[in-house]
Amino acid sequence: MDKGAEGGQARLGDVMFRFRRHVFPLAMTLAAVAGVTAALFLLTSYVPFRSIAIVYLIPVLFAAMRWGLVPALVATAAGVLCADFFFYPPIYSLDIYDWQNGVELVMFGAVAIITSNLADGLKQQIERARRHEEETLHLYAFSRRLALCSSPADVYAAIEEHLAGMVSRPVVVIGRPALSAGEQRDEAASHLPVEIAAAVRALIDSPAEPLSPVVRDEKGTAWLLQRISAEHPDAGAVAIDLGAGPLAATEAVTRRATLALADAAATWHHLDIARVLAETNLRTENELLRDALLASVAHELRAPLTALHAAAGAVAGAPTVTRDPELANSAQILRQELERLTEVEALLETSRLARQGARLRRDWSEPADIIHAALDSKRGRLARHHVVRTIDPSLPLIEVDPVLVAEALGQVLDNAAKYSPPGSTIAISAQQRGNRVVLSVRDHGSGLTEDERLLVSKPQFRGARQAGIPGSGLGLWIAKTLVAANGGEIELASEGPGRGTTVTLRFPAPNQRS
Amino acid sequence: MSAPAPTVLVVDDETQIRRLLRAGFDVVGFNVHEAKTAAEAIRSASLSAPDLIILDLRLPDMPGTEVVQRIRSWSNVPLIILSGLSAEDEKIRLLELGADDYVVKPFGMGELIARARATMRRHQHAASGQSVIRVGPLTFDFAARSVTHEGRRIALTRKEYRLLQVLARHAGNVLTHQQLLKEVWDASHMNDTHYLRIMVRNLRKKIEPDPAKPIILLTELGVGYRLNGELLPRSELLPLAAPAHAPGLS
Repeated sequence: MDKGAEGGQARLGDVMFRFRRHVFPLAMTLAAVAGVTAALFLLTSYVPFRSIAIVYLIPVLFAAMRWGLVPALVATAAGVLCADFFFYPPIYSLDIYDWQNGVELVMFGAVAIITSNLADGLKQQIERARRHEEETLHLYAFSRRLALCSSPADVYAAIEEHLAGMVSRPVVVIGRPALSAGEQRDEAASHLPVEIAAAVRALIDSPAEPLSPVVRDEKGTAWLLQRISAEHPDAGAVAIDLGAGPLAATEAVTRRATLALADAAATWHHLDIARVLAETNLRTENELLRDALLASVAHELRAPLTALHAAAGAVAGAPTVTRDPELANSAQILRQELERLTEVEALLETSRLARQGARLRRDWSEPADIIHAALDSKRGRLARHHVVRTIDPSLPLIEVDPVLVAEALGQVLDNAAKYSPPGSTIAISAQQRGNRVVLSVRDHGSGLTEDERLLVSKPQFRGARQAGIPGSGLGLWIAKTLVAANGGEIELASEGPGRGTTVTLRFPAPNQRS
Repeated sequence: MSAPAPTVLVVDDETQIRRLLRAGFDVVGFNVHEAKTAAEAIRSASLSAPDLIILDLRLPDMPGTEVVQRIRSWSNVPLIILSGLSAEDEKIRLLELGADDYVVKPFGMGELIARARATMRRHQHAASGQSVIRVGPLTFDFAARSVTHEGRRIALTRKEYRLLQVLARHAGNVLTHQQLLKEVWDASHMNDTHYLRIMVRNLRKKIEPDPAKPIILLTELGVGYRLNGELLPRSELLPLAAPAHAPGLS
């Protein structure tokens, strides 16, 4: 629509408004007076009736109650004139023969004016009461809505739903940036003219009170800007469109908005604190507890394991033992089982790291080194399998934490050894595929069904088929977490139960000169 | 044996570990002193000037880094750390503060003794200015600036030679990435690990019997590199070799 037509429409609207507001009641008032006059005519032709003027109180009071003081006064004047003209001798003239009629008219006028005022006052009171009731109902509905809110985002939605209805003006709610991830905030703000959006942002960001709550935009529309919470500027703000007219109604709107927002602010505040506390507390406390527990268990294990390890080594090397096959065998078992215990300790440590994720030290790493370290750490576990390695000689370097990736690979190897029969082959390979380095471990063990494949990398998953095999089921979950933390992906594939499993770790390897 | 027995100071707050360390070093001919706390260790080290210190990191009265710093402030004594799992940051820091090497608990005594020997050997050679070092099939002749593999000279770039030289001078002990980068390149490349990785790859192709399974130039994942100390000739390690009459633990 171009500006001309728009202006025309506004002017027409204005005219209609004025008509309804002022002209219509007066017309109706006069019509009422005319109606009463006609009725009186009818009446006096059958019944002798002296107190004419008193009947004209009806339209006066009617106008007063319905439309206010001015129409009532108009009705008074019209009533006096009609009574005089139509009923007091001489009829059809404004003269009065009988001075008592004159007194009657004057008394009528006085009474009419007084009762108009009273009626008008009553009318205003009723209106106020009705408005108040309406406001209260609105607030009540809003409060009920707030009570259902379970997050700060809910509060914003509630404000949006109710505030516009309560102030009878369009409302835009702008939330806190931390809450509404950048884009959302801008989306809300995009409904506003640029300078208003800027003013709102300033309102939210600055701790000081704003100079003036009402800001006009380029088109001349006035906006009322108000923080949702005076004590917490970062709760956000609302912008209420007051329209292009004069600012008479601002006070009422401001008052209602403040009332509504006070409740919302309190709710928001409670929910926000609750949310932050809940998130922080729950996460932190639980994690702290868990990590402390894991760390202390790992620590407690370390010293006895170290001592046992050294002692077992000494025993295994002693000539008395090496000479006796049975003793030598026992010593060997001792060392092997101790190695497994050490692996458990390492698992605890890694699981703690996998949860914390904070220890990541990424650097350019040689994939071959990672594979060797993993194979070395699981040497004992892999002793009874046939390990085949195929490592591309010119693989690109990968930017990972090599210790964590080696640990992940170790877990994968552990799984492969655990779920495949002794003597079978475990093939480990490292190749470049496009811009990725792919490490894969293939075993010929019990394989995976489709369901197992999907679930197996959740922590502690043990399929029914694996019930007889010891272990915690944590291994693959740890591997997955460590690989993901290093920017890689892990994938499982199997041709079915009994047909082995292939676990693939993929890491990005941007183009490098070899 | 003509030379007096070397002294080792073992520092650990766990009695069992101290006992085992004592037994292990006793067998290879060391005099063993023990310390339970950092304070004891520092006092003992300053009073008795041991030839080797084995230091546990988790001492009750002082963090390991501080102990190393203190000792290094007045002594160059061979210093080997007993560290826990997954503490690469800590290991690197300690190595850079002056520790010579570390073993990870739980460790085998054999590994510890091998590293101890390598460190002590290095100190001896540094003192005596030995210019030829043999590591397995490789022979480093620093005077002639040559590296031969079973008699055959290997063609090396200047930087490759420098890297091998540094590793050989510390044969058996670990050197961090940063230490190596600083020696071979310069301080401005201290974080360019990928240079180091590529060079190691190329070197392995030249010196390893099977580059895919390195046995000479070993990687300490997350920390650095070392030349395999077990390839150092035993004869060079007198008087630290086990006495003929006692059973070997190494």
